Amino acid sequence: MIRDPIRTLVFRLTAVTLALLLILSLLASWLALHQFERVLFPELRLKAQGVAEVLTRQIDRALGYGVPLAELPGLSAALATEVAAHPDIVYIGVETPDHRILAAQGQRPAMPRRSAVAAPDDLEILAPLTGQHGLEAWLRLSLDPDWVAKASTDLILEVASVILISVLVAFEVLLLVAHLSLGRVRATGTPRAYRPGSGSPFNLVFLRLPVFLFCLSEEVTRPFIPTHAQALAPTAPWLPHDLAVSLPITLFMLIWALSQPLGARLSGRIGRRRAFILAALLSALGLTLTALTDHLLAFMAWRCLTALGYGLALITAQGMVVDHTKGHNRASGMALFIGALLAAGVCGPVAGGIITDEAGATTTLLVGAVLALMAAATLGLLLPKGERHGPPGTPAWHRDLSPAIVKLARNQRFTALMAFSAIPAKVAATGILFCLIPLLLTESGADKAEIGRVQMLYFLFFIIASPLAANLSDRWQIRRGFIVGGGLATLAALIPLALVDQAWGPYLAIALFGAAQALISAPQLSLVTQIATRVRVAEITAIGWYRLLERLGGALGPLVVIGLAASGSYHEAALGIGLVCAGSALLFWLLYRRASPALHALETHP
Amino acid sequence: MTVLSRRRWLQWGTATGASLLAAGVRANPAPPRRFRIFMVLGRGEGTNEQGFKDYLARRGLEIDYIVRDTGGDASLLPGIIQEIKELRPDLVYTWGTPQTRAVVGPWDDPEPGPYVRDLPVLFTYVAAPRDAKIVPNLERPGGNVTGTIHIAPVAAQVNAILAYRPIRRLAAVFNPAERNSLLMIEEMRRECARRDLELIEAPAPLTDGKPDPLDIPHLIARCRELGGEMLYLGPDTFFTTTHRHQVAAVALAERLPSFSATELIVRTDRALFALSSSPYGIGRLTGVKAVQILLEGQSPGEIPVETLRRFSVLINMATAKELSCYPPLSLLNLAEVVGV
Repeated sequence: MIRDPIRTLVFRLTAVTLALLLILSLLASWLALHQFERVLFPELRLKAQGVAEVLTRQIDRALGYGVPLAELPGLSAALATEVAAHPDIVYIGVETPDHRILAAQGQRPAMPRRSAVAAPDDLEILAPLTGQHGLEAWLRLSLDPDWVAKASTDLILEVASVILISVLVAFEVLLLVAHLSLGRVRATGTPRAYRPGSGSPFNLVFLRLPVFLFCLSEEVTRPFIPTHAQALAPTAPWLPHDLAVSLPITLFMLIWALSQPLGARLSGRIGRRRAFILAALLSALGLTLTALTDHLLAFMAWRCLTALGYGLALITAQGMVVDHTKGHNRASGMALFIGALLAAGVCGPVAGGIITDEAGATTTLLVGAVLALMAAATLGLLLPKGERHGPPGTPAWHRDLSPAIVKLARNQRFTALMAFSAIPAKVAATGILFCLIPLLLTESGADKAEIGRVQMLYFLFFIIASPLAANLSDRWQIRRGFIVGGGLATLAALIPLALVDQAWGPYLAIALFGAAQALISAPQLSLVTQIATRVRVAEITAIGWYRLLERLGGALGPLVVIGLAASGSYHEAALGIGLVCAGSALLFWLLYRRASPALHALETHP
Repeated sequence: MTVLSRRRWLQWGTATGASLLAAGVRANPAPPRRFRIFMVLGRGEGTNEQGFKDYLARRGLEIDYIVRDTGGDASLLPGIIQEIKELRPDLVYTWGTPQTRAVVGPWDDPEPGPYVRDLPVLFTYVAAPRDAKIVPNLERPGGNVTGTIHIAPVAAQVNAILAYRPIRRLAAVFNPAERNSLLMIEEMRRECARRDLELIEAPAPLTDGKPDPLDIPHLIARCRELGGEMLYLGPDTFFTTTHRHQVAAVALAERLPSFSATELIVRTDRALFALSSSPYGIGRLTGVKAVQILLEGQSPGEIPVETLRRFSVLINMATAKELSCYPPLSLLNLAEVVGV
């Protein structure tokens, strides 16, 4: 691919541009953050001084009227109001000149710790309280030495995720621009002027931006869907609360899974290009209606509509890749497609979280709708019109459905693979990532941006670990080992979520969880294709069944997680899911091994 | 030069300039009309009347005031009403429930004879105009009457009392001969029941339908003996206006903190605190309604009866000190303080 000199040039330019962008934004952010603590602390101190001044003025007024400080009612309540209103102020007290405390709220840091930004003295403010006869008492106000550190950590993480998003978005755009210019350079030599979508050879790269934008439209909603459903739960009081929270995600996954065969039929009838545009418009409509509703039932209905659009669009886009690739370049075509999916998975939750914190869930849903519209528009502009409807010879996995599934179901290895690896893995993925994480983190006081950051880590580590795992499992010809390892690793990953009571617990858990899921993904697919060959079922049909079954597992995920959480806590639910994954991995190992040792040897050493 | 030709010339001017000038031409005003307002007062002119007059003066109205003061003597009222009927002023201003009731009568009394029913009447300092049957409805009073209420809703009064001191027993002295006092006590009874507060009622005994000031010390002492933790003084002319000096002094001597729904007894005497409208502000609000009637030609029956939206806490610090009963910081922040 890269042997073409123009392509090489474009590739290098893209890489250099991205590297420059990354370095410059890192540098700018580092400089800004460096200043942040220095600027923030004096501002906090100034604000605390303001608080002290307001209190002093109030108390001084009472003292001025001759109210004895010891008899002034409501003094503690006034201090408590201020302590509660300012998270950075941990203590306010009123003490006499001989250090007798008349009123106090909060916990005074016993010995102010040395902080990077403030001397111990800076962490306290002492203001005199004066009455008719001069100094009567002191107002003492203590700042939280850890607050600045926490605020700057939050900011660093936020800036880092924004940089990551901007680099990924820049990459998507650059890739497209580079390929458009590539086409133009090529076209200048020929009589016809180049226009995207005007009979030039189909370039799969043009599919990538629409797919990226489209996935982004759904990914931005990830951090708040379950908590949003939770908030709407009172509008459907007859629905058990746990079901109200999990059902929207479950229905979404279910409709998505079931829309796949429909998608193939739809693009067969009206063509892939129109099918994708139609599906994206459907999704945009669904997201808009979701944004505008405040009733749980309507919310679920519009989520289903969005899911239908989502499923149709993705299967159609996948169909385009299949249409325009052959055996030798299908893998790279799919990689392009999945790359867009994962890039959106990294960008979406964080961007969605930040937008939700700043402007609310309604705005985020509307942003999602706009992204879906942009996906439809970019695809309409970039891909050629008048493409054949359902190109002949396109393998459609749904063509001989029933005989295929009978053959597959009779194969013990296939059933073992589905029941004890594919389905549990997806139960864990959707249950933990889309349902448990938003609920658990919201419960512990995190904002939506933090939820998005944690969700992003899943995709990030999946992207990093996935090619490595695929590569190694190919090189060592170990599939079963990776799958079992991934199941056990899922349990190990979820342990921090269940047991670590620190802020970094969920980050670590979800990063490991992403890596563990990456171990399973590629080897599962390889095994499915192997089995398909063995039982003489078209590869694409077997993969179709595999995806359908694992997505049904995905639909089960939120129900399982919420069911476990209902009888315990969110932490216990995480541990429960981990145990399910590890247990089924061991079962899979036993069953798959027993199935057919001779053929197993044949398969692993072809 | 006629107006017509000037108008024609103006058509050549710019649109805005033309319309402004034309408006000036058309509005060429008749000489300002002088209005006559007949005031029926009960305790002489106060800050309230000052606010009313200032507002009308600022709006440019030229007014001749005819002021009659009963000084609390109801027997003067028939003569005053007769005078109103003869003079036929542009507006009748009545201060307080007894004066207003005498002038307009109960709204459901079909007998118009002794009442003023054909001139606009604007009342003020009426605590409960609906219960006093002065108007059937506050939003649309109907008939020839509208006005302003000067006291805070009873719930707000109880809030203020509880914000000062979380008490369980509230003691109220009142003059059963005053209709507005009775109405206020009825409402207070309901509010206290709602909040699980005990209301100790100490009505002034009446001889020949009149309370005797000599009973005041004994009444307030009784409130304290019955366990009252705070003395409630409603909008009662006998206790909070006419004999306020004695009432406040006795309460202080009995070491009973006192709350008043009107501010005078706190400002000029030694009652502890009040939640009230500023009398000047109420006067201005009453002035707004007078302008609506006189200049804008609205019917009083269409103008809602209103009160100010803000009430202020007034604390007499000298009393607080003497009782060692200091206001909490949160209340003090909002309060005006007198008696420093």
